[in-house]
Amino acid sequence: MTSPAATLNGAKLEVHNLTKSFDGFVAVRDASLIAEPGRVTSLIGPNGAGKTTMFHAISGIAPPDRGTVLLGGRDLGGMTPDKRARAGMARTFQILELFGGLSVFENLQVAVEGRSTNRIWRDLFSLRHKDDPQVRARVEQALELVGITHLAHRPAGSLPTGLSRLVELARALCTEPQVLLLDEPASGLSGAETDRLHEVLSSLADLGLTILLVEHDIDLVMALSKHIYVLDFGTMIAQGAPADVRADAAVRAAYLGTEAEV
Amino acid sequence: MSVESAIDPRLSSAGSGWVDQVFGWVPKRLRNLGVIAALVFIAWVLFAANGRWTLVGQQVVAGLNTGSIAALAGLGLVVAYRATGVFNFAFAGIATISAFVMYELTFYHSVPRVIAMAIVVLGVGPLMGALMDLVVFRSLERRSAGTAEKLVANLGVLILLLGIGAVVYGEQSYQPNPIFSQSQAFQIGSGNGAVPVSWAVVGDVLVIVAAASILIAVFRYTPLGRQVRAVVDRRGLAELCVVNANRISMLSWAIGASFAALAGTLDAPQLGLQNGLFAIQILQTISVAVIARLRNIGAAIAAGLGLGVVQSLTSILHSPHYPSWLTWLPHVRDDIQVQIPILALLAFLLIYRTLDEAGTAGTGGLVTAAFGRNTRRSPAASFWGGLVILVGLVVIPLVLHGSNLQTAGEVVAFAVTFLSIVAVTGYSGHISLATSAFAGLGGYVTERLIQGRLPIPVGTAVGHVPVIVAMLIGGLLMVPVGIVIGYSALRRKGLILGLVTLAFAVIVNAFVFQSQSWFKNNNTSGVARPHFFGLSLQSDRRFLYFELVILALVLLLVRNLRSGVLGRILGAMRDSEKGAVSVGISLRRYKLLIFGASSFIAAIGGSLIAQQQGTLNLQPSGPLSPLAGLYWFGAVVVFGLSYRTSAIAAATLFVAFDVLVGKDQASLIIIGIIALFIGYLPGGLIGSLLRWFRGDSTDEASPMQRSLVAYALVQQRVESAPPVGDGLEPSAFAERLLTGSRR
Ligand SMILES: Nc1ncnc2c1ncn2[C@@H]1O[C@H](COP(=O)(O)OP(=O)(O)OP(=O)(O)O)[C@@H](O)[C@H]1O
Ligand SMILES: [Mg+2]
Repeated sequence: MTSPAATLNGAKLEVHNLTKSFDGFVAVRDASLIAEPGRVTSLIGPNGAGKTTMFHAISGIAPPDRGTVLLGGRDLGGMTPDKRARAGMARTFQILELFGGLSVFENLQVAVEGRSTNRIWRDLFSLRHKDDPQVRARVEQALELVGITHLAHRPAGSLPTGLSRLVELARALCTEPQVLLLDEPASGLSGAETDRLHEVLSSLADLGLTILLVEHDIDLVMALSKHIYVLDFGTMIAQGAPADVRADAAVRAAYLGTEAEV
Repeated sequence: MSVESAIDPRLSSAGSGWVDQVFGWVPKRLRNLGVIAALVFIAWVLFAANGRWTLVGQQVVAGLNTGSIAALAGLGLVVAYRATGVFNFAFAGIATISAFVMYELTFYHSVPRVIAMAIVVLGVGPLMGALMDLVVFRSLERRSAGTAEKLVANLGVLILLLGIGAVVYGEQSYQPNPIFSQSQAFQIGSGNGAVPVSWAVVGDVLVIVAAASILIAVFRYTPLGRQVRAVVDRRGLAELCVVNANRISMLSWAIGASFAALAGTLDAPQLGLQNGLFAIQILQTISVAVIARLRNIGAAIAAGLGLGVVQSLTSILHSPHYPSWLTWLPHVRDDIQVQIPILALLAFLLIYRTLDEAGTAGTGGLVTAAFGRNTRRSPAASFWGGLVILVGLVVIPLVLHGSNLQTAGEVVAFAVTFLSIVAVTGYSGHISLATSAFAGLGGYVTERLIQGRLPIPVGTAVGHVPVIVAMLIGGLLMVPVGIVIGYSALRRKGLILGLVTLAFAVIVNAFVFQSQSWFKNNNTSGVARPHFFGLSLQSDRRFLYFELVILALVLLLVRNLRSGVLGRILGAMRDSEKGAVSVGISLRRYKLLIFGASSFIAAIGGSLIAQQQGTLNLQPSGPLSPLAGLYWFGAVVVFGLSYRTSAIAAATLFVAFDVLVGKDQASLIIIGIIALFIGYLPGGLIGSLLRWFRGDSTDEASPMQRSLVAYALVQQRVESAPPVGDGLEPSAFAERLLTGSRR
């Protein structure tokens, strides 16, 4: 596998006492977590536990009622989601948010270019628009890293779910992230694709990226993560190394009846 | 502790007092504000009334009268919306046609009023509603079409009905006889301070009470009503239980249409009956439904009555002592009184931010991706293609003569205007119905500057401004206005944005185009054509060349919004806002940019329309009226929002067809009919044609997957819906959604 760069600049993500409610329904209550650079940290919990809500709050898409989010020590509170993205936060979505009308290549291109306004005015009034070769190179790297180079010129809207998730991952990587939030990246992936994902994520972590993973594929979570947080009914009920979490009584109780085994 | 909170500790039992029950639809933060505003208004009225209680009483009675009609129309909207998920713009068309049928029956065929009314309200109206369901919306529902497709199909019904109205009844104004006698029925109080109440008021109010009671009785006490209520309350849930959805939706359409017919027949004698004008007045009762958040039937009734009373009481608030710098205000005050419903509409739209919308609010289905955009044409092909077009452009004006030249000129002017719709809706996914307002304002600025006046109410004289400069200034001045409108689009999409822009168009029309102080001379005024470096462009042929040059430049600008970095960013934003922000794209910057650019284009187009026609016609039923904005939108959608060629094709149909047939607005019928079937034409006529040539298929999801996703979207609050292909069985999926959501 070719790496996009020798190292990636991961930054520590800290979430403190995050609370988020919808019309009086408290979906996440007072939850905290820390994700260190250079490793995969996972957030698990039964359906409806509040994991996605927490991701939305961290990335600013649905800002929290209370709580702080620090990236590399910098407070992201009050920032719009696009500003957070420019500050180094990248994410994927449980419900796909690809740009269906663009090709896969363009999806990634826009992720590289979209953050700066350099070419906007020039493009608005000029006759010719040439692609920036540096941008193309970055996109090709990301495609290769995730292993979807063959999809480059397919319309993103026409891909099956599994491949779409890989495209979202590649797109997130194109934004020069310091932290990567992944919301169920393996759901809809085939066995082989999951293995590929496993490989990509662990090498990204090795390169220094901070990765926060939400995933229902417990085997993948156990294999990848150094540290696991367990969310249930909006509160953190456990955290620790994979083996500890697996043994935790509260976790077993929370999962009883919903997930077969932990 | 309730059962629910025993299951999930996060659930606190919500407030259940009667206040919450009655005013639950008002956002909490607004309740106090609303109470304060009401108290201030009442105090102001009491102060201004200054003892003239009879007057106050009369105004309240009059207000209840107009308000009850509005309430009725709003009620129909809410019921139809809740049961079908479609915001029924067409109700204005139904009301108009019903009023015409009523007029026809009573005036030409001497049918007694009561019988005619029964025929219209119980026959014609419901029939139109049922037909809409049968022909258009049932199949859309079966194909789980997106919200935007249904919206456009509905707009198509409106355009079709008004097109029929225009072709049959033209622009004349008819004055139907009142349904009920204007003579006094009784009076409230006695002696000098008595408030007379006419039979008309009694009749209107009784009819409304009867209609509302029947509606409520049917809802409460019949099995059918219970099913409708189930659908109204919980669309998703009821659909899962497969109550006979067809019957329910047809019934709801019929009820909604019947209410629209009732409102139309009652309103026509008061407002006068002129095809487009009447429709736009009826359309303003949208405010009633919006204030009720498209949800609460009681709230709709209250909002209708409240608006009516407030509107009528405002006439008491009259002070003759305005300071000199506000001398134009008296006009504004009159305008405000007339426009209270639409001002309320705008205010509430801005406050609410979201309506109780079902489904996604994007433009999905309409703006299908132009797949295969990546296959670049070879340079040689582009060269020859370009050459052919260029030669065509030079030759066409040469071979056209006389009135054909004028028609061609008009087509080009409209094509420029329509390109602004392609830019803002096709390329960035925002439904904007205000194009006619921007075009009109562009024309207005041009006209004023050419006349040597500033484009403001007390237009002080400036030197003469050349036409081209005036046109450019008009365009540039609209950029900030467009940006202001763009701000409302930062957090709104789909229906609510469409309504905001429509309200803006109506307000601009009322306060600028129809206002004495902004625009004297009966709303029309001569507009000259440019002189260019000593060359007069007065002749139709020369002017057509000039227009073609402008069209080419605008085409280039619009193309640039589509290609390069900017094009990709706008496309990304259109396809997924969440995705766009997640890669660091600033929605604000690009939304404002696209709104600014499209307003510029619309203003240039409007200026060209005025120059072409030789007059600026801002009549309320003229070519730049708010309804025109709806027509234009429909015309472009029909050909395909995301193609530049569709602006040209739409302009050709819109202008040339009327000339060909020799009937004004005849093209509306064609546009309306095609819009009805937009669900079968993803990407419009041009998009479908292209796809057919390329042999692409429209979408890859099976009907089952589509309906699952549609269901997930109905339940959009539940972010945890799995994507298609997740392997979940429908039943497990539904169960999970239903247990996961406690709404
Ligand atoms: N916008 C919203 N409005 C109201 N309730 C919401 C909203 N978003 C989420 N919820 C509720 O918050 C709770 C947590 O949802 P969330 O999507 O965060 O769960 P999750 O842990 O991601 O579940 P899953 O594993 O199924 O993805 C759910 O009960 C859900 O119904
Ligand atoms: Mg989730």
